Amino acid sequence: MPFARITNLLSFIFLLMSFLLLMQNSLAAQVRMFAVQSGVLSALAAAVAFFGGSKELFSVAVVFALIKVIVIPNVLNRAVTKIGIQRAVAPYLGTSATLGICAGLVVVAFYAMAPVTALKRLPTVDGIPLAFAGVLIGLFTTVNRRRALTQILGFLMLENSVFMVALLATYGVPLIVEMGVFLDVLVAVLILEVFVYRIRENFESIDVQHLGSLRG
Amino acid sequence: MLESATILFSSTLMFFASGAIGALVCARHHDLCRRVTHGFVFGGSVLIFGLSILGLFGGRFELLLPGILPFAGGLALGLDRLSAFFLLIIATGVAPSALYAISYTRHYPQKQSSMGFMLNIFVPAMMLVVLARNVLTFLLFWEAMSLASYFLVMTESEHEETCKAGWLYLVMMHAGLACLLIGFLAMSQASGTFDMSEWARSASGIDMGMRNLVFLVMAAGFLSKAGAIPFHVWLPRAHPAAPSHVSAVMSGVMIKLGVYGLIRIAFEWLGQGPAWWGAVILMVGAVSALLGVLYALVQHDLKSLLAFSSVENIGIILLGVGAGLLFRAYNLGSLASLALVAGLYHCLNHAIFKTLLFLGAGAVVEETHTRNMEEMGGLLKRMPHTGGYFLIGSLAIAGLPPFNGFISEWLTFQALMLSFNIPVQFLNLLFALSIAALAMTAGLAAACFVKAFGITFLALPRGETVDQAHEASRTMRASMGLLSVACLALGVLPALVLRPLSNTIAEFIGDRPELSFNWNNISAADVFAVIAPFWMAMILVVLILTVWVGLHAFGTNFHRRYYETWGCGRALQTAAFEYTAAAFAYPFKRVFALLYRSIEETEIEAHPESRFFVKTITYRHETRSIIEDSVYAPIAATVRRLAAKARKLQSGNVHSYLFYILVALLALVLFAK
Repeated sequence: MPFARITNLLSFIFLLMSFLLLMQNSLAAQVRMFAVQSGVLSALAAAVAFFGGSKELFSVAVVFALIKVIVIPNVLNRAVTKIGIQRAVAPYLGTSATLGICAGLVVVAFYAMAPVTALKRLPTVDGIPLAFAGVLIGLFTTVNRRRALTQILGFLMLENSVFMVALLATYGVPLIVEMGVFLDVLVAVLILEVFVYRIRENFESIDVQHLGSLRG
Repeated sequence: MLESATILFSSTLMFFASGAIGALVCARHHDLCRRVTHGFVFGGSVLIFGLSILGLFGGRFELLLPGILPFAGGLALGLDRLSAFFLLIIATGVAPSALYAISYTRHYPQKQSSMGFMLNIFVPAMMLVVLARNVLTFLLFWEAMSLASYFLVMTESEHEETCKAGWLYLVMMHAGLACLLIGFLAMSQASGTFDMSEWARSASGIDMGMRNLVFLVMAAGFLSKAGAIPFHVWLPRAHPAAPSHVSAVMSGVMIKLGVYGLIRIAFEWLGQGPAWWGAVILMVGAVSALLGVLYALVQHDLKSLLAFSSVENIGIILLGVGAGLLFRAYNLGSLASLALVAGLYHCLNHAIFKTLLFLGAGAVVEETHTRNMEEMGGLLKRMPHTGGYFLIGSLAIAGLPPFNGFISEWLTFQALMLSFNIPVQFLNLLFALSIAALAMTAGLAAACFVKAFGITFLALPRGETVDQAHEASRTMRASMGLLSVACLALGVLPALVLRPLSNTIAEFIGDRPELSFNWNNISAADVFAVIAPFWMAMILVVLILTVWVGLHAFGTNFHRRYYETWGCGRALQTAAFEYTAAAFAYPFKRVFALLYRSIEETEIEAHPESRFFVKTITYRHETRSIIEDSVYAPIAATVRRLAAKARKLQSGNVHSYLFYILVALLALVLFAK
């Protein structure tokens, strides 16, 4: 079954990129990792489209590549240069502890998805726990990072993984829904970029901890 | 019959809907707005009156609208005689209040639209609560009623006192609603249906422990609406804070719906219960009646005095309801009906005279700009009509013939005295204590309203504002006049109410009340006790005429002397010489010192030369409530302590919120596994 092998391989590479992203210290490198991850995901979509025989999914893969590999990384890079912090990603936990927890999350994902993988009705089913692990790691990244910009990266990873779960479990949701989600994410990133810029202008920092002082 | 009831019902709803829309459309034209909105409330309540008459004579309707809210059976409405009787109470209280509000609300210039709108929600919500036939409908309109009345209480939200009162009201109503939710859902679960009219049939199959639990939580929920002690704390704060016509509707009508719910749950929905249900209600009634009137007696705020008096009257009503439950537990059906007739008669009477008194108090407060009785006095000369109506209301609420309060209190006494039919000594003792409590309540209530009327309307003016007081407007007088006539009519011709009421109770309980009556006399339990209200009234008229004629015929010279009231032959007579409200209450404060836990302070400022030349004396004597100090204060402290702990969760840190999401997601995933 080349279909199953290819999707599994791409899923593993996807999760690997998540881990590599976590290990980078500079923002620019993280954005690059994200672009690579999105590229892998776009390839996965194309593979599913090819073997699943869905023409719609091809166009989804193309649009996905356009937005997530080219547009969003560019926007993020622009934000990085504007704000001018190349390093100082400032997580709460150090790299090794982060990796340890993420490994634990992968285990949890496999454990939780065991009933789904046991069904074996789809050739793509083995990738689902990996995608779910991506969801958990993305969410954890938003928790762990202090800076607003890196939280955006966590959110984008989370979104990528949700897309991947949909792709593997149902061979993609209808085109119109997919397009809506793409536009949402794109707009969200643009708005967040502006906000991050504003936050920095007004508070001299993009450390979201300072927002705590707004509490009543 | 069925058709006409449905048509009447839908046109009632149309009236209130038009009133609510009218409030929004003419929001800018204040005068038009108050006329339109309250006009529609008046019209709608007249139609409710029609619907209730139809229902009391056996008209019924059923309306199932499962499509409007397609879950838990949708909306289900129905009319039976008991619902019809409570519709009568709603109509009697609301119609005069709406008439009164047409000119009364001119003093709230910016708020006429919102007040009118909310009243047009509040009144139909009360009607629909009474007509509700399933859980969803009941809870939905119960909550609508609570919320609409909350907004009405908050009319003068610029005063901090109002906001506090409103907040307390909201908290108490939702604590009550939580109790009702638990009870309703537990009962639906146990009986397997959301249709409350089915519950009576399946109740006997339900585990007794479950039924006891449901009874306790639901009684707590309904009693918090009724304002019975110990759930009364919102009542003496919310009623004074609300505009007077709203206080009248809340005190006269809304709190009766708590009694309605209690009667439904205890007599119908839960089937035959153990005797202790009745004993609990009887004790709550006795305590509410006695403590209510004792607290009313020491109030100097005219409207809180009336509010505490509502607690007292709810207590008297509960004495009837509790006695009914006890009789039924010992299979004395016809006595149970008699007790319930007494309780419901008092419900109607209280709706009439308490509405009258609140409307009268509203007219007084509007003219004097104070609720403090110590600054009133001498108002009878300036507002003779309002004073006269207030006097009639006071006589009626004090239970004096020939007014309506006398009849219902007499019936309650008879129901309690017939308790010797119950073969349990402990319960006989309980009844004896209740009789004593009711007798004492009646006496204290008379003292309380001597104070309310005497200090407010008689003697010399105590404050400057009294001099500018004028008689109330014509519509306000008309509404009070209508209620006064009703007080007299139901006191002289009680058969007007007893006939439909005993049919209602006969249908509801299944036994006819042990009561026979015709146009001039009532006899309870064969000839256990008989009165002839009509002849009593006639004898009263004849006696007064005789005295008047006698004095004219044989009396000495009858020339008028103009002299100051309570002059006592003093050379100088000022308002400072008068008996004050505080002085009136003082003996009671001394006798019942244990209950009032009063704080007394006297400050005397003397002339620097000699301490015998006193310049001013300041005297303060505040009373505190045992229940608030010993029940609510610890609860409030505990809630505050827990809230302070829970506040730590709310750190304001985005990361911790994200962390909560992650933990919740993981927990959910692992739990679902």
